[in-house]
Amino acid sequence: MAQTVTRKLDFSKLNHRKAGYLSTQEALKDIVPINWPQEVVNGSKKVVLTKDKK
Amino acid sequence: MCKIGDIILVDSYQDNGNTLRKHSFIVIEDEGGKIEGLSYDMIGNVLSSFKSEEQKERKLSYPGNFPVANEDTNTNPDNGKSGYIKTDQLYYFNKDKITYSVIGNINPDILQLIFEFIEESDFPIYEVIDNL
Repeated sequence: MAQTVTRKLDFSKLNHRKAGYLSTQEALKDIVPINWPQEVVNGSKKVVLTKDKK
Repeated sequence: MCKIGDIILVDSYQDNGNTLRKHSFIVIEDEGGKIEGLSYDMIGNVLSSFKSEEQKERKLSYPGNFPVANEDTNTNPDNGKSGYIKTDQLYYFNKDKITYSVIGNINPDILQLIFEFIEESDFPIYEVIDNL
């Protein structure tokens, strides 16, 4: 059986840390899009992400 | 349709008249609301891979970046299996205005760790609302 998420992020804990707005272009300028294999992109295989231990 | 913990691949969306393509996001909120008078129905954190080992070390030294791994991640030219979630940026989406597909999910135990990481850290949070 698939595991489910049991709680939500508490956004009220972030309110005092909000520093402003970024444009999408500015926010994505250093982002390197993940090059998913074709079977992931076409939906025939699902990705499950975990924490990188490095 | 997507839910918290899903990984979505956004095919295209508009940003000030420019079309941006094929970025992956983790859904961290699936209930709607309003921000600056604009309606949203999803919030996500963007996923990134690495350009090189040097860049990986640099990126993971930033306090808002959470490391993740997957066997299907192809981080050419690094060709590693890891990446990171940029948790210090909240992307607000209106699903009617983007084209996306759900390509998987994050392990719920890891998502719990990410939520704790975001809530208990003190790095500044930036919001991205120009897709609304």
